[in-house]
Formats: sequence, C-alpha cells, structure tokens
Amino acid sequence: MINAQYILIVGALLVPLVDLLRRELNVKATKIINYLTLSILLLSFIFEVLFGNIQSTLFNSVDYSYFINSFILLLSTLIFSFMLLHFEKLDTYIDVFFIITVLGATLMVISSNFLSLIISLEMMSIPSYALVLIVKDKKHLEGTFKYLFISMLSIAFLVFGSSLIFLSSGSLSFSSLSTVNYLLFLPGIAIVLAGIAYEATLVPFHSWAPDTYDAADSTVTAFLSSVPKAAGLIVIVHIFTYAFPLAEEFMLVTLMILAMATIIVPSIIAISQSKLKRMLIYSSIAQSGFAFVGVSLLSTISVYSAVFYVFAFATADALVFLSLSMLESKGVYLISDLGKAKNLGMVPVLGLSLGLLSLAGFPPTIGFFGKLLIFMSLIFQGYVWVVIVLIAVLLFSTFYYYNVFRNMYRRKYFLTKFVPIKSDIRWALKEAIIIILMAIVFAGVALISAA
Amino acid sequence: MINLIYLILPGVLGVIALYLKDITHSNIPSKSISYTAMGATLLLLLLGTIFGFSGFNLAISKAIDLSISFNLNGISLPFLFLAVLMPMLVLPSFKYDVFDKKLTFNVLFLVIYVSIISMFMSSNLLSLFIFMEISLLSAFFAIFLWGNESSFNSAMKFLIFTQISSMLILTAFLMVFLYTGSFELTSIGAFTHSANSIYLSTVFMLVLVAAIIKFPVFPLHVWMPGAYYDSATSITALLSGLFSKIGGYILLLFILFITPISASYFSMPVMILAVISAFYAAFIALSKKDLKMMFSYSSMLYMSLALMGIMSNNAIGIDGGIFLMISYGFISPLAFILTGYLRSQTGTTDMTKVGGLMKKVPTFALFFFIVVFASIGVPGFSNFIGEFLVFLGVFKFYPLIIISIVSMLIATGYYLSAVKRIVFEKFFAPVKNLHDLSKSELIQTVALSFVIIILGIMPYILINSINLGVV
Repeated sequence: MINAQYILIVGALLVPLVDLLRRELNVKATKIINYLTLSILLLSFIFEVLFGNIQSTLFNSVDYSYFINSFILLLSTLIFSFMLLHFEKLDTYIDVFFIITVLGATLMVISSNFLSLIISLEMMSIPSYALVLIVKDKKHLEGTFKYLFISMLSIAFLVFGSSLIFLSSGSLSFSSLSTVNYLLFLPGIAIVLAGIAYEATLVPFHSWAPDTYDAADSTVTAFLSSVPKAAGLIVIVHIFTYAFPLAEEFMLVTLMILAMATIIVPSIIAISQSKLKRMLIYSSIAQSGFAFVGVSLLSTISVYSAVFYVFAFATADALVFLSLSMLESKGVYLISDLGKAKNLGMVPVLGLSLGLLSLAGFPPTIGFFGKLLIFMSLIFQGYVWVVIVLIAVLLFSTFYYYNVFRNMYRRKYFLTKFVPIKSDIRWALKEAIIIILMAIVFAGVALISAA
Repeated sequence: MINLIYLILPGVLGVIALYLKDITHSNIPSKSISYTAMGATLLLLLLGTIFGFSGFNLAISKAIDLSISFNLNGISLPFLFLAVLMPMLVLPSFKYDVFDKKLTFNVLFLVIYVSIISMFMSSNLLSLFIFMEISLLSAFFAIFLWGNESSFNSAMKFLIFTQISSMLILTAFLMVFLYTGSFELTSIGAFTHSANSIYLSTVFMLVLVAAIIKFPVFPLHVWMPGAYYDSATSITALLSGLFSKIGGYILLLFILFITPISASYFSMPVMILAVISAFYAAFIALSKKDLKMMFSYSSMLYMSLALMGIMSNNAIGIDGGIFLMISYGFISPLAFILTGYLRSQTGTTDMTKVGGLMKKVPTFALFFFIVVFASIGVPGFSNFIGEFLVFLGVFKFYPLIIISIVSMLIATGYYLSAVKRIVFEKFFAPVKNLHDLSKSELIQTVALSFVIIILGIMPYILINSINLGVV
C-alpha cells in the first residue's frame, strides 16, 4: 500500500543515489536532479490525495490530517518549483534536504507518540538550516546560526518535557495518558509547549523568526513561514486534544494569554517597519497567533477553525512572500520603493495585493472565512471580550496592510502605463505559480467543508 | 417573474466586458459599458415591479450556513430603487476628477454598484456582510485613488471607522447565529420576533453603535468631513447617497424583523442623541464657507433626522425615516454634482470667492435653487414628505422631541445664505468665462430633479412598496 510518506522516503534515498551516479558519470547538468525532486514532490501530493497517510503504531491520522498534509505537499511543490525558477543554480543537496524537510513536516502532523514527534520535528528542522544558507554570505550565515541555536535549545526542551511526561504517566504514546502523576506532568506540558512553540513562532519564543526570515531568501521565507509554522501549530492542536485533555481547564488561561500576546506584540512592531519584508514577517507571526486562539479553546468547532485558519494564512503567506521575491528582483526592498520602482509587472503586484487582503481578512478571500470561524468559535464559548480585543488589533493591522496599498497604487506610478516586460519563460512560469496561489486564496471557500 | 439574480447579472457582465476590453485594447469607451450595464439593471428592476420578483438561492457551505440567497423583504424595494437608479445618474460627473485609468474607475464603480444591490437584496446575513465588505473595500480604493492630496488619510480614516462598524455588525450577526442557529433572515425573524432578553438587547446595541458610525451621527462622525471632502465628486455622491443608507438598512432589519422589542427600549436615548446630532450638524454647516463641506454636514443633519424617525417606535416614523433616506439619497448627489460643476468651472467651491452666478450661468442657478428648496423641505419636493412623516412620528412618540424642528430653521438659514452669496449679488469669480451646464450635466440634473419632484407629488409609489410587517 503506497502512501505519500513512502514516496518521500523513497525519493530521499533515490535522489542522492542518482546524484552520485551523475557525479560518477561526470554529467554536468544538475537540472535533471531538480526535476526528479519536483516530480517526487508532485507524486507525493497526488498520492496523499488519493491514498492518504502512513499508518503504524507511531503515526495515526485524524480526519483533518489528510487536508493538512495535502496542502503542505501542494505548497511545498509550488514553492520548490518557484525556487527552481528563481535560483540560477541550485545545489543538488538542497533538493534532498527539501524532500526530507517536507517528509518531516508531514510526519509531524500525524504523529501519535512523543518519540515520533521528536524525530519528525528534528527531521523537519535540521535540513531547513541548510535551506536558509542557499546563498552563502554573511547575512545568510547569521540567520542560519540564530535559527540553529534556538532550534537546538527548543528541541532539547521538547526532549526534556517528553521525558518528564514519560516519568509521570508511564508511556510516550498520546492516547494512553489516563493515570498521571501531576507533579511531573504539569512541568512536562509546559516544557513541551515551550519546545514546540518556537516552531509555531508564538510570542515569547518568536525572537529568531524576524532575523532568520529576513536573512533567508524570500522564496525560502515563503517555505519557512508557511510549512513548518503550520506543522508546529497542528502539532500543538494534536497534543492538546489527544494527549492532554486533562490539562484543559488550567491551560486555557495560559494558552489564551500566549495567543493574545502573539497577536498584539508583532502587530504593534509591524507598524513601524519600513522594510516590506520585515513587516510581512511580523504580520505572519501575528497570524499564527490568530490560529493559536482557536487552538487554545479546545472545542470541536475551534479546532476546525484553527485548522482552516492555518490553511488560510499559510497559503496567503506563501503567496505574499513569493510575490515579494518577484518584486525584489525588480529592486523593491522598502515599502516606499513600491511607489518608485518602474515596470513591476502586474502579476506580482496583484499577488501581493490579494495576499495582503487575505491576511487583513477581507471577503471573499479565505482569510476572511478563517477569521469568521475563529470569531464564531470564540463567541460560542462566550469569550466576547477576547473578540473585542482581536477586533481592535485587526484595526492596527488594517493600517499597516493598507499602507502598502498606498505606496503600491500611488498616483504618479498609476499614471504610467504597464510596459509589457520582455517575457522570459522563467518569469512567466513564476507568474503562473502566483496565479495558482491567488486562485486558492480567492476561491478556497469551498474547502471549508473539507477541513 | 424576474429572478432577483438578473438584477446583478448586467453588472457582473459589465465588469467582465471591461476586463475583455482591456485585454483586446478595443476602443469602446468604458463609460458606455457601465451605462449599458446600469441601464439594463434599471430596466430589469422596472419589469420586476410590474411582473413581480422571484427569489434566488445558492448554498455555498452548509457548515457555516453561507448561501447567496436573494429575497425581497418588506423594506428592500425603496433601497433597491435608490441603489439601481442613482449611480447611473452620478457616473457622468467622473469627468471632473478622473483623468487617468478610467477603466479601473469604471470597474470599481460597477463593483460598488453590484455589491450594494446584492446587499439590499440578500436575505442571508452572512452574504449581506460579505457584500457590504466588498463595497467598503472598493470605496476605500475609489476615495484614495482619485481624491485630493490628503485623500489617503481620509480614506484610511473611512476604512478604519467603517471596519469598526463592520466588525460590530459581524459580532451581532454571530451572536444572532448562536441564538437561532441560522443566518437566514426569515427563520431568524420567526424565532426572535417576540423574544426579549438582555442578550438580544446587547445584539441591538452593537448594531446601533455600528449604524451611528455609518450614518454618520454625532459623536462617531469624525471620518465624514475628510472622506466626503477629499474624494472625487461622483464618489462623494455615492458615499452620501448610498453608503450612508447601509447603516440605516441594517438597523431597520434589526428594528423590524429581528429584535423589535429590544429596539423599543432604546428609542428615547437614541432620539435624544439624534436631536443633539441634528443641532450639531446644523450649527457646523452654518459656519462653513466651503460649499462641499456645507453639503456634507447637511447630509449628516438629514441622516440624524432619519435616525430619529426610524427609532420612533411607530409605523409613521419608520415610513418617514425610510422616505427621508431615499429622497435625500437623490437630493445630495444632485448637490454634489453641482459643487463638482462649480469646481470644474471656477476652480473653487469656496462661497466667499464666487458670487452672482445667476447672470452668467442661469441653468446652474435654477438647479441650485431646486437642490436648496428641496433640501429645506418645500412641499412639492420629496424631502417635505420625509420630514413631515418623521416629525409626525416623533410627535406621536414623545412630543417634546419636536424641538428638533429648530434644526430645520438653521438649515434654512445656511441654505438661503448660500443661495444669496452664490447666486445673487454682484458677479465675481476667479475665472471670467463660465460655460453653462453641458448636455450630460443637464441630463443628470434634470433626471434627478424629476425623480425628486415625482416623489414629492406622488409619494405613495414609494410608501406603498414598504411593508413593515413582512419579513
């Protein structure tokens, strides 16, 4: 029985072998390796949709796992093809690392045991350090080191927390935590949460994210800010609904405070950013806070709303950062550059606009429906005051998102016609990818029932 | 039987046609595509009033009860009439401010048109909210792109204030969903019509605050002077003629169908607020030297009176409030069109810099008279009916509130002084040769005046279409 993870495992083993063969035969062209990787990712997406996930004692799929894994694989395929088009020459080891990262992400989402969680978390994080360092210069090195150190620290936390939980309950599996020794269990939960929260960039643990995402190339940022973040949030959902139902009552306040801090703090910082990329990074940290609000409520509808919101913001983040990458190749770095640069091309500008509208929560994009579901689940549990605080923060974010529009559609630039750019097949294909993402952002409402 | 979806089809086809025009670089002027679409919608509306309308329902997601369903409720026909007829008469004024990217302007205009019509027809609260948000987003771009130098700040203030009100409305809708389990207006009405609780009063209060922001009514009106003044003429006409009615429409839905009993508890405080707001707007309009600012605050005055009529807890007042809103929805675009003409001819709308225009541009003076007298409430024009019914309803509720009629005296004061300064006295203007109203402007002003006079002489054609008891 073939599923997506088998394809990825086979791919992770096959690609280095083919590459070795290529070196032995002294073939210079590395494109064939890239295309092989791309086809493996595409195949795994198809197999995910058709056949689903791996089943074993360590991995157990829930009803939303198929949805999450399919969209993780789809996003990874699209981002990888964008990376191929963007970089002149992609080293072949990057391909293997990409496959392993995606494999780790898909395994993390379906883990049902702390052991498999730790292993798949490491499998996802370690190759992504190399992804940040695709271009080897000082700035990228700095970002990689920050990511590396904080990530090592948090994996250590995760292992320590899991060991405390093992001590207190006698098993590492998620589903057999019925008799627990609370003295060790509570610190265990807290430490596990601290370990995974860095991955989902929740507030006290988010400090690596702005620098790493800023240092990495925009296409890699598109990947880092959508897939690992989504995986981290879904893992927190999974842990708290399956492993810690006992923890509900007293964790609610902690989780809610974490969520509110994650929404409020980056929104305030984002207002003052003049570099477009950093503003988008802070806004994406705030988005994961919104999804975390759904997680912290732990009712059925809030879990579904959190899952749908993760899909909504991951797609919008990928769209926004990929459009940003296209704009950066035209020389746009600061927000005010948007008004001054010429010949930006219609598709990246539209992609950025639509992504920002989705992040700001305007109908009929999926960002609006995600926020609607989060508000619904909050009101149904009775937390109207949280809704009011969220609305206030939404107004902050409206300001900094629309500030980008003010620069993009500035009247002087508006007057010049769009000169058709000499088309370049790579540019056109990049535009095609952005259009696919835009279509999902716009018409993804139909997927509400899938979540 | 005209299915209600046909009313938005011409607009959607118009947007697609404009997009195709852009791709094929054809030479058809964008405005003719817009006029065709809006004219077709008007024709369909007239056919519908003769033959009857039938509903439309398209379920998108059962999980959150989202479906695009169009059904007429008791109060939507007057608003539909306003929303279908008025933009077509306002579009020709774009020549004053839109000098570039006319295609984008027409696309935004048609998107606002279609979304507001869909909003007035929706019977599913969630799709109503979605259409409202789409129209607000397009309005933000429309204000920002073709306005003054400071149009971004005004557009941002407009966006943030109306976002606050949209979020309050969303919270209210979600609370109603929690209470009744559905977003459909008919089923909600059946459930909550005779219910009375603190919960429903909270819902109503949220909608009330949202409507106060949207009308706008003192004290949450701060976005209004900037947004009305800094935008293009046709956009200002749309803002004061259509967007200010959205708040009233949603408030009416709650007063008549969803929470009638809770609404009656809020009548007295809100009417006092409306009186204060009416006096505030009237005094400020009295102090303004700029014609466009004066008309903006005057629009706020009449919206406050309409709020007073709506909250008066009897059918006469509500009829009056609706009628006043619709009639002022025709008068204020006419006013703004005339100020746009004045600015395009003389370069200014400042009343101290122009005077005695009767000698040079008598047709403009004629329509200026019509606007001023219609607005004051001279019988024969539609505003008289609206004001009369509002004051009658208010008197029936609590006689002392009739003191607000003094604000009408102040309105008369500033209007007549404006007439004296601009139309009569010695002629002076920054530019010496003024052309009289051109043909397209003449068509606009004649058509709007015609509607105002017809509504004033035969008000029953509108009042008969209002049915206050039926969802």
